[in-house]
Amino acid sequence: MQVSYTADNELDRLEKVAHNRRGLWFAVIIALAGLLAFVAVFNLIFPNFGAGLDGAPLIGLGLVFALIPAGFWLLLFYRLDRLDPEPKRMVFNIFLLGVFVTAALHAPILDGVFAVNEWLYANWWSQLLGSILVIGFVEQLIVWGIVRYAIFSHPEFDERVDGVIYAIAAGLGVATVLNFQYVLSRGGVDLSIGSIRMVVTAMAQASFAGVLGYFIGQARFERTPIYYMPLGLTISATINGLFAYLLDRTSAGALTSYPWTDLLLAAAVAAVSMAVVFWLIARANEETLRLAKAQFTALTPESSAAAGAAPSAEEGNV
Amino acid sequence: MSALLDAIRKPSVTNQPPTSREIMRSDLATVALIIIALLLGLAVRNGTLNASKKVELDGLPPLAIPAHWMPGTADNLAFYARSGGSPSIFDSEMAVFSRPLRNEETLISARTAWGVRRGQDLERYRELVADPVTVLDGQPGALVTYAYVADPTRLAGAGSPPVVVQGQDLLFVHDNNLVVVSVAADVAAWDSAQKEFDIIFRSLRLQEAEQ
Repeated sequence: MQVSYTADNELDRLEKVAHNRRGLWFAVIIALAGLLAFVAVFNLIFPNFGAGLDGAPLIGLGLVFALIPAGFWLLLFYRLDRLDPEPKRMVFNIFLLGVFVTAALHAPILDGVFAVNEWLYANWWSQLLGSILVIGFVEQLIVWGIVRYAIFSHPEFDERVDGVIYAIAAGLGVATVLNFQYVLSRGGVDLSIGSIRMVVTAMAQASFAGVLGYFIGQARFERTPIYYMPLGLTISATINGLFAYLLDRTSAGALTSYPWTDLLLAAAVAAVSMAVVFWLIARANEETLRLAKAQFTALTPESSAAAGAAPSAEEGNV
Repeated sequence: MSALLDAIRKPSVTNQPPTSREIMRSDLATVALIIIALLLGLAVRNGTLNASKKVELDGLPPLAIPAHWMPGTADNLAFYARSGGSPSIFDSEMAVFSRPLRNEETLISARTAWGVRRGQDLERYRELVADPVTVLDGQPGALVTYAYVADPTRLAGAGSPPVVVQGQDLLFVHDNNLVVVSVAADVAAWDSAQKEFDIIFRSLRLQEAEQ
């Protein structure tokens, strides 16, 4: 009887871990589409919005614009994932932590310690390696550090997909600070081009963080090999660095940059990476449930008797 | 590839959660990776900043310029190169000018004439400081630091504002020729350009002169 009770609890736990949050993925799709609509509104319908502004009002409006992509994304998490949402305050706190940690570490490390502007653009290989080893790793270190040390051991982190949710929240915090820096360093921005830039940054950071979040979710609920988390960080930092490199190279040598090309690239990267993460999580959840059911069947006396013979090799591992 | 995907998708053959020791091991491996990546990034940074290439010029001492600088051409100059990765619209640059010394011309009189010429050629030219130095095998020289206003985007029709430029002219005599090696950068990027200018001046063995 005790065996059956424990097995039931374990099956419940694993079903929770392997919960497929369809509402979440729908929210991600709507968020991507909504951000594209946000760009379209301020480039096609109100292209001269804020044209008469300068100085402090322009900076203020730019900062509000910088908050919109993250705010929109977080709002959708709640509205469309309402069947079983993460605690609102928890996700928002992780986002805020992303903002504060990025504000405290990003510029001091990249500009102060590495002085990237002095050498990054010297030639293609320094730009490629620097984008991955310095920019990519520093930004993903911030996301990993926040999720790992602020939420990883919390009871609310009880599903594999939570790694993706909290990492995206932290990534949006990183994106928000990068957008703030963009507005402040230019004393305000043209809001049509600026809206594209802000959406590109938010989509990209959310995508990189989503990939990293998948590995964090796995590391929370699976016995992973020692290389697993470092591999995840390397993959997300590499995508992060390659994306920054590609964005810069596509406009290098041109008199003007091509913000719409950047937007398409960011949307493609976001769509592909989120689709891959979705697929990986769905397959991992299937595998978890399959093993759990095999384990449950093996532990139930009636089913063991019915099964009669020795368990298969795979079940033997369970 | 398929094995890697399988390992990413399902890293464990069981549903057992990791032990705290395994989580700590994973953390240590991640931190070690980050440290290695950042050290490699630092190596790339230092390699890029310190890399140089040699320039051989007829009748002039050999000198080195940063590896990523692009040689160009300019009227009346023996050599010209600029940085392609400058954060300013005014790219950091260097130029070498050479002419035979005139009759009874000395380094001091040549340096005075050079200053007058600079004042005529450069907008709002202002000499900031001049130091006696030695170059190559101890030949005397003068290092003049100055500033002026440049308008690099005006000819291209762009509307960027003019730039205050800081420069240094190193004047010395070599084989009876007056040689002027000039470096210049946006005054806002002057400090960060010092590492690149050091490559040029180090190749000429520039040293402060003993008073």
